[in-house]
Amino acid sequence: MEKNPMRRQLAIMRQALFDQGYLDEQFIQLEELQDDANPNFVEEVVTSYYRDSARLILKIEQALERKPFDFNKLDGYMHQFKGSSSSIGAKKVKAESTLFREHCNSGNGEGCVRAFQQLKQEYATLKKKLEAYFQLARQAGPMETACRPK
Amino acid sequence: EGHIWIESEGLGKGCTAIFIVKLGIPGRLNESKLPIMPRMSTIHGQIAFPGLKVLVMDENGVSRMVTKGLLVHLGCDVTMVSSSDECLRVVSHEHKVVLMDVCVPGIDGYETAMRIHEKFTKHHERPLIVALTGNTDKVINENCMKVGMDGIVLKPVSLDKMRSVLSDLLEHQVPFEAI
Repeated sequence: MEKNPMRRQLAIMRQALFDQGYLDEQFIQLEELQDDANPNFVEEVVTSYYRDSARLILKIEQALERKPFDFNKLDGYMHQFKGSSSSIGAKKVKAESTLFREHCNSGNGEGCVRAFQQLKQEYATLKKKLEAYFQLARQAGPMETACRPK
Repeated sequence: EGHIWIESEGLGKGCTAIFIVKLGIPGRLNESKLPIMPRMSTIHGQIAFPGLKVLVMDENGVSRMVTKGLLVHLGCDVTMVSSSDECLRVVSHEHKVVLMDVCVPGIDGYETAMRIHEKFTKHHERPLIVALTGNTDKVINENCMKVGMDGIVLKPVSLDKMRSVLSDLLEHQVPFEAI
């Protein structure tokens, strides 16, 4: 049990991200790779994710402006996006990516547009939460061990 | 030459089999002809692979970063490439393992695996090839085996899974299917 109040708050914030389904086990895997040699590994990977995925989101947006939809192209972009999201444990974002790809496979343009709107919302929500989490983590100081959620 | 016997304290108390055997000393081997097998060692009680040279081919930047982090954590010496052409250019007999993503549209991991086989005609010089895939359906499994891949791993890969994959590969050197 963390005695430091800031660390306690950080632990609660972290637990909530798992309990509310924003993150999955893969995020814990990233934490396990963080050590003295790579003290900021998790934040670096997440930063890289938001940089790479922003480009993909823009490509998808542009592709959705062209009619008729090129479902192969859209699926290709979303395949990349899903892979990246999966790598950081972004559970809800990954689920929305899967839904989008299902609509691509069935040639459902409206479904794609709807799924993409939902995906962008989940993506933005997670980004805000992770930014707050890392900001608090920096203030709280270095963590000793990764803790699995109960 | 030797002796073998059993000692016991009595009925129901178990027994110990003991043997003394005389062994010969093997003649000096020409070590340059043997494949150089990386040694596994333990760090903090867990298996690690110090200096194991691994080549990772993955078009996805985030996924590449995570895979690299995993392997570096296990002590590996990692080279990253993002395309088949780069992979074939860079791969050498120094690489013991090639991890390649086979599910990227536009990158043919299967063909890359076949071309690695062609490049290394001597079996012991060829790196072990492991497919990283986002899903393991029967077709993917069969394709991987057909092109001579040594194993398949489902992404995202956990630290424990990567550890056991490398350990199995280096110890047994036989094809396997990862769950």
